[in-house]
Amino acid sequence: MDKLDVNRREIARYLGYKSIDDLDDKTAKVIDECINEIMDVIEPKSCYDTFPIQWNNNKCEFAGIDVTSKALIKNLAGCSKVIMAAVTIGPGVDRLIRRAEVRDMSKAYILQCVGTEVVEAWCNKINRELSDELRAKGLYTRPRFSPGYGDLPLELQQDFERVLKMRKNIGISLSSGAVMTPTKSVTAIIGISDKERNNAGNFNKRAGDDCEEDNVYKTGCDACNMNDTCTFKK
Amino acid sequence: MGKDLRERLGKEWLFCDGGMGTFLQERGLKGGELPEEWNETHEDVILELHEAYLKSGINIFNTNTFGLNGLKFPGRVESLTEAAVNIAKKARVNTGREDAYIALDIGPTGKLLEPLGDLSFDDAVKLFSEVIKKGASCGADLVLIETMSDGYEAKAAVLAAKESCDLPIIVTNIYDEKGKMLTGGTVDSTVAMLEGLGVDALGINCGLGPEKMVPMVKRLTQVASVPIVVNPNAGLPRSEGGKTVYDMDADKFTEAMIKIAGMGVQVMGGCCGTTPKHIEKMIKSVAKMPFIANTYKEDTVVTSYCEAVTCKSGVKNRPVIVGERINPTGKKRFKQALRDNDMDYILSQGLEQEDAGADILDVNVGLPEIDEPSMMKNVVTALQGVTGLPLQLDTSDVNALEMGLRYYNGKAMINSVNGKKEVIEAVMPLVKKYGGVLVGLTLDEDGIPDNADGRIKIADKIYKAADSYGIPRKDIVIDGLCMTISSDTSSAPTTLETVRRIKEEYNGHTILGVSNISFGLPNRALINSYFLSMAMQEGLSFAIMNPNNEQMMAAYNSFLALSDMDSQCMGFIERYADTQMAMMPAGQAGANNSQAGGGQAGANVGQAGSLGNNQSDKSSSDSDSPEKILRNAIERGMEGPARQAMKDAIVNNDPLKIIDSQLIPALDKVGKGFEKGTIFLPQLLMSAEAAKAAFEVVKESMADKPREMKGKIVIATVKGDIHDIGKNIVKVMLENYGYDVIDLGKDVAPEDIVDAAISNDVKLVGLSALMTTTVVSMEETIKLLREKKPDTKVVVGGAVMTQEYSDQIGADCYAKDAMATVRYADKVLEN
Repeated sequence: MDKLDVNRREIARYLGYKSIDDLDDKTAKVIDECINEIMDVIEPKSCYDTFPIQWNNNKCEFAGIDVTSKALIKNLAGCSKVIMAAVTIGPGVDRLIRRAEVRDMSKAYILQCVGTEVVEAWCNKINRELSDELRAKGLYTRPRFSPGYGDLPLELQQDFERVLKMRKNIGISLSSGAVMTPTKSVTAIIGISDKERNNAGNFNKRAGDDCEEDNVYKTGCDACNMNDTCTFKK
Repeated sequence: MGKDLRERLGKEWLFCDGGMGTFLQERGLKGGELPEEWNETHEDVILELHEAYLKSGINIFNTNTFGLNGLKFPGRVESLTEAAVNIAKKARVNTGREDAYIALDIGPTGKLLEPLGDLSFDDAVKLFSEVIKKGASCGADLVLIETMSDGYEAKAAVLAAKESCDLPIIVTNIYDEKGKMLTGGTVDSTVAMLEGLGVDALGINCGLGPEKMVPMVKRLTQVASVPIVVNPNAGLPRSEGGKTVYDMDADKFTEAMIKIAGMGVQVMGGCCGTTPKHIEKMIKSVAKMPFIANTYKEDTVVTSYCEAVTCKSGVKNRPVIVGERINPTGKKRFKQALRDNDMDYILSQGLEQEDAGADILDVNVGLPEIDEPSMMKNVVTALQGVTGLPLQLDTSDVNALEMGLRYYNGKAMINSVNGKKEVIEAVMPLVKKYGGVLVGLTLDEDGIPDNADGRIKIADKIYKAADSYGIPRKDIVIDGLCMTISSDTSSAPTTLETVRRIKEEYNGHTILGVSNISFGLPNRALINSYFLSMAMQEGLSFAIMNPNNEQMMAAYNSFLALSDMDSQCMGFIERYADTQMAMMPAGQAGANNSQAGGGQAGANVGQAGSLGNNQSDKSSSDSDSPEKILRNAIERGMEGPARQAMKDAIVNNDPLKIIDSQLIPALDKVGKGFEKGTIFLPQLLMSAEAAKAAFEVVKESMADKPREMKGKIVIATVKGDIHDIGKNIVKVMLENYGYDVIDLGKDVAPEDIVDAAISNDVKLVGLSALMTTTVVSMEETIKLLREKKPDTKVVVGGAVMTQEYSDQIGADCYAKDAMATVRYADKVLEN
C-alpha cells in the first residue's frame, strides 16, 4: 500500500490547537511517536458498491434507502448514481488507545486524534482513487457525505451494514446505538454525476437542471450540524 | 439413522453441504430479507435446497438457522428453529438419506461482544442456548458453529452447546488472508482454545476461496489434533448489478478442493457461492482420494484471544516467563487497589510486566475482604482489554476460578491443583469444561515430600487423575515446588531433581515460583537469579518471576544466549548494547533508576535537560527544593521527575500538605493556562499525568490509611455510547483535584447510574455522550435521577453536547471541557 498522507495540521486541530505553530516540542514529539505506533498496527480495509438513484421529484431513493435528509438530497442533486463506501483502519488503534488510557491519558488523547486523522487519510485515498477512476470515464463525484453530517441520521449505518455487509467484509460492527467498532471507521455516500461542479460548490448548470439554490452544495464544516458550536471548525 | 457421528468423524471422508444464499436469492429472497423467515413462509424452497444437497452425496447438512437468534427474531426463535429442523428431517426422508446428519447451523449474532462491542458474554451464551436447546430437542444430530469472526463469540456458542445438549460440536472460523480473525485470533490461538473446550472437529469456512485458504489449512494440520473441516467460498465475490457472484465454477472449485483434500483434512464442503453442483462434483473426486486421518499434537499451548504461547514437546524450548506481580501478597499498595477497585493500577502492573518481557501474566486477586469471584472476572476481562498476553488464573477459590475460566478469552493457564483428592475433584471438572493448562503442585494430604521420589509420585497421581477426567497430559504442568533454602539447604537440589525427572520420565513440562527459594535470606535477587539459571538448565519450562527485576532478567537473557536459544545473540545484544554507556559516570543515575523499576523516570530526567519548552524559568538545579522541583515538573508535565520530587519531598513533610501547597497550585496554573487558551489539552493532560504519578507516591506511602478526599463524584458514559475517552480525561482531572471518582464505565444504563448515585450518596453526577443518538439516554438518566435522587446535581459533556442541548435535557451544568467540570465540581462540593 502507498503511504498515507497524514496531515499534521489536522492532528493539531483535532487536539485543540488553533494553529500547528502553537504545538510545543514535547507534544510534537509525542505526536510523531503516536503516528509511528499507529502506522505499525493499522490494517486499512475498505468496501464499497455503486447504486443507481431513483429520483422522484425532489426525493430520492437508492439501495433500498428512502432518503429523507434534506442535506443529502441537496448534496446528491444532479447525480444519477451513488457509491456507498465503508473504510476502517482496524481494531489495533483502539487497543493502543485503551492501553494508553491505563497509564498515560495525554498519550491516549493524542492517539485518539492521530487515529482520526489516519482514518480520514485512508478514506481520502479511497475517495480519490474512486473519483479518478470515474473521472477517466467522464464522470464527476460529489464531496462525500457521512451519517451524522447535517440531518443525515446515524441510524443509516444499519443500511450500510445491510448493503455492504461491513462486518463480514471489513470487520466493522455496529452497537445498538449504531456506533461503529473499530471506532476509527468511516462510512460515506459519494454522489456520481456527469456534470462537473465549480469551485463555489455549484455544478455548471445546464438547461433543464432542477437546481434551485446556489448555496446548497455545502461541504466539510459548512455541511456539519455542529457548525455553530464546533471548536474544531476550520 | 446411521452410526453415531462421533464414531465416523476423523475416520473417513465426510462431506458438508454448500451455500444457501445464492439458491434462495434465485428463488426470490430479497436483499434485506432474513432467510430464516422462509422456514415458515417458503418451506418448499428450503426443502428443495436440502434435497438437492442430499442428492449430491453430502453426509452433513445445515438447517436454515444461520442468523436465527433472539435479537433478530424476538419471541420466534423456538418456532422457527423447530420449523427448520422439521424441514431437514423431511428432506432426509424424501431422499431416502436417513444416514445423513442434520447440523443445527449456528452463525454469529451480528453483534460484537464486550469489551469491543456492546453484547455481554452472558447474553451471547443465552442467545445461542435458546436455539440450541430447541434444535437439539427437535432432533438435530450435531451443532455446527460457523463463520465465527470473533473467538470469544465462538467460545460463547460452544459453552451454550455444551450446557444445552450432548450433541457433537463442530466449529469453523473465518480467517482473513493473513490468517487472522476479525478480533485478532490466529489458527494457533483458536485451535488451542476450541480443543480445550472439547469440540469434536474444527476448521475454516467462508471469507476466502479454497486457494487462499491453503496457508491456514496447512497451519491447521500442524496444530490441530481433532478432525479438520474446510468449507470455502466458491472463490472471490464480485458485484454484478447489485448481485454477488463468485468466480469459481464447479470444475475450478473441485480442482482446488482436491489440493486441500491432499493436505490432510477430514471434512469438506462449501460456503458462499457454492451450489449442489459444486459439492457433487467435489465429492465425486475427493471421495476417491486416500483418506488421511489427523495426528495428535503433543505441544502444550496457552493462549489469549490473539496469542499462543507454545511449549513444544520433546525439544528444547525457550522458558516461558510468567509475571508474578498481579498479586496482593505482601504488597500494601496492591491490596489497597483491590479494596478501592482501582482497576487502572492493577492493569498498569500487567502492562509494566509485558514491557519488561513477560510471556504470561499470573493473576491473583484474592483478599479476604473482597468478593474474589467477581474481582477475578473483572480483572481478567479488563486485562484482556489492554494486553494480548495469556493469563494464569491463580486462586484457591473454586468459584473465582470458574468465573475466571468462563469469561477468559482463550485457553488460560490455571494455578493450581495438587495431589489432594478434594482439590482434584473441585478443579479438574472445571478444566475439562473450559479447557486450560493446569499447574499441578507436588503436594497432597500428607504435605510436601522432602525428596524428589515423593514429589514425582504425587505428579504421577495428578497425571493419572487428569487421564480419568479426560484432560490431556500435555495440559498438565508440574510444579516441583520451591522451598526456601534458609530452612532446608537440601531443598533446591530436591526441586531441581523433580524438574529434571518430570522431563525425563514423563516428557512433561514444569513450572516453579522461583523466588520462594530465597525466602528469609538477604540479597534475594542474587540467589534467585542463580537458581533460575540452574532450573532452566534442568529443563524448566515456565518460570513464575518478577520480570521487572533486572537481575532475574539478566540471568534469563544470559541463559538464552548461552544455551543456543538466542539466534546470533541478537536478543542479548539488543537488550544490553547500551549497558556500557550506562556504566559511565554521566549515565549512572539512569542505570540506578532502571534497577529500582523506574526506567521511565530515568528517561524523563534525560529529557528534562533538553526540553525547549516555552517555560521561562530555568531548569531545576540541584539546589532547588524538592517542592520547587515538584511544582516545576508538574507544570511541565514530566512524570518521572514529579514522582522523584514527591518521594524527596515527603521525607521531611506531610504528604497532604505538599499536595495542597505544591501539587494543586501547579496543576491549577496549568489549568488556568488551558482556560485562557495558552496551554492546550495534551499539555494539560501531561501535567495531570505528572500529578498522578506524584499522587501515586503519596498513595503508596499511606496505603493503609484512608485518604481524605474532597468528595465523591459518579461519572459515566451513557447507555448506547461506547466512546469514553472524554469521560476518562475528566476522570483524570477530577482525581488530581482530590475527588474520589466512581467511574461506572461506558454504555451504562440509567438505572445503574442512579443506583450508584444513591448508594454512594453523591452530590454530583457527570454524564458523557458522544453521539446525538445517545443524548436521549442522557435525558432519561437525568429524568430518573431527578425522580429518585433530586438533590444530586448533573454536569454533562461530550462531543455533540452544547449549552442548548444541556438546557433542553435538564442538566444543571454544561461543561465544555475537563477543566470546566473541575470548576463546577469545586462549586458544588465546596461545602
